Amino acid sequence: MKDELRDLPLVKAPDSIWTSIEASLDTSIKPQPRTWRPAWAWAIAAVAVAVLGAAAWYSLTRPPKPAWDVVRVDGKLTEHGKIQVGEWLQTDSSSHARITLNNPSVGDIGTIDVAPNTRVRMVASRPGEQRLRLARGEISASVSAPPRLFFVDTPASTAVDLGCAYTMKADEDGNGLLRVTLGWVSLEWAGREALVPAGASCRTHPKIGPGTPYFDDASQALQDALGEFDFSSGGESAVDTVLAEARVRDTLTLWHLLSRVEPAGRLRVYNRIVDLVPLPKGVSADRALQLDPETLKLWREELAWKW
Amino acid sequence: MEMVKLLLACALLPAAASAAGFSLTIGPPVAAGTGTKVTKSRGASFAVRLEECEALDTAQIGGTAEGIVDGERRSAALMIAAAGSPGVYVVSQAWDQATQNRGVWVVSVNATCGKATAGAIVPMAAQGFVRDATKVLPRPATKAEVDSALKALDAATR
Repeated sequence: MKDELRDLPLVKAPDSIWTSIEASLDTSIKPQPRTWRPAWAWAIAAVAVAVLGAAAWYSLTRPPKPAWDVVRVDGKLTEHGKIQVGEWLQTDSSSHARITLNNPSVGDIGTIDVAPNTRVRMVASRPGEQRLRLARGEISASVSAPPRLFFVDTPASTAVDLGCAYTMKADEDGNGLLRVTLGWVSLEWAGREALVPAGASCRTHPKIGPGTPYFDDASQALQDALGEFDFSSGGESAVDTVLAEARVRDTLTLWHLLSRVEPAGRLRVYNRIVDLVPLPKGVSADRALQLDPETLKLWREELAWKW
Repeated sequence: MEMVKLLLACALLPAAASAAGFSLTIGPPVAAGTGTKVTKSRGASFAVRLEECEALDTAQIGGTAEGIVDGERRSAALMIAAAGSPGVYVVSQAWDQATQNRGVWVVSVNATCGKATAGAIVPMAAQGFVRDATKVLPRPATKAEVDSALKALDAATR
């Protein structure tokens, strides 16, 4: 076998082979061009990744923005939606709506029926405060919540829910009317307060605030005189009418009047209350006439048994 | 023997005196506390106060709602919760409003303070309790008194 190989003739390789071999050798030993990435580019990329990650984490874990459920009815059309903090809800003459006061932290605490031609705004929905603004129109609230959790702001008052059902109206000029059907409401405005129990109403007026509350079954003369006293500078003649028309139950009105009449007329109001309901034990006449807050509160709580 | 009777009488005197004049006062729910101490008044029908009871810690109060719905006599449980002030309770209806609207109902409340008893029959209307027709008694109401109050309320609402 060795001899046979030795006897084979030598043949010269073609030049093309050497050319291709040299070309291959040149390619394998030529240095690669260096790609240079500056440090700031890596930093920007890292920050971008971090920001995107944080945004994704926040969007996945943040609590949902507070919102109340809304059902809006316009003729035969019913539309379900939500109202969020800062948003307005407006009904026209042919539509009305129902807001469900629900919040993950407080649960479902009641409903607000929004009458036609009404404009309301969701002001706040926090664990200790659910707040609505009634700009104009009429709402009916039915609230089952701890006292002082739900508030309705109007141009002339804030209705503080003490566990109740009521209607609240506000006209274009800011005049309002609260009518309580269940429980009681405290109307507050600029240091002035009116306690309105079930069966009673209270008017409100811009720049004056809540008027004097009265029971809806009080005489019309009493109600008219109160309007004069509260909002038209009715003075003594209006007070005379209220005193003359007052029944036992109307001590609600008289108790509020005590601190609203001029000092000279205070004794007359006091005497009329005592005529209707004897002064209870623990209530001092002198302190009541001096408008001592604790005495007035104690007296009010006793009078409330007659309301 | 006379001496024993005298001693017994003397022993019982404080208990009797503490409940002398024991009675109930009925008022609107707002009377249970116009401040913020009453935690929830929605659904409250009326408030009750135990009067002239010095042993409030041992006093007891209970009651039932009695009604006529679709011509049938019904009884229902009540929810009675202590309010912020001692001896003051809030009575709430435990029966549904639809049933309330279909029939007529009175609430019979009874209470004890030591050995003294008191009661009241409180007619109910859609707007709340009917003050003018409320009867306060020096003892628990009898079935006949409750039936009579129901008939009167039924007649008045027809």
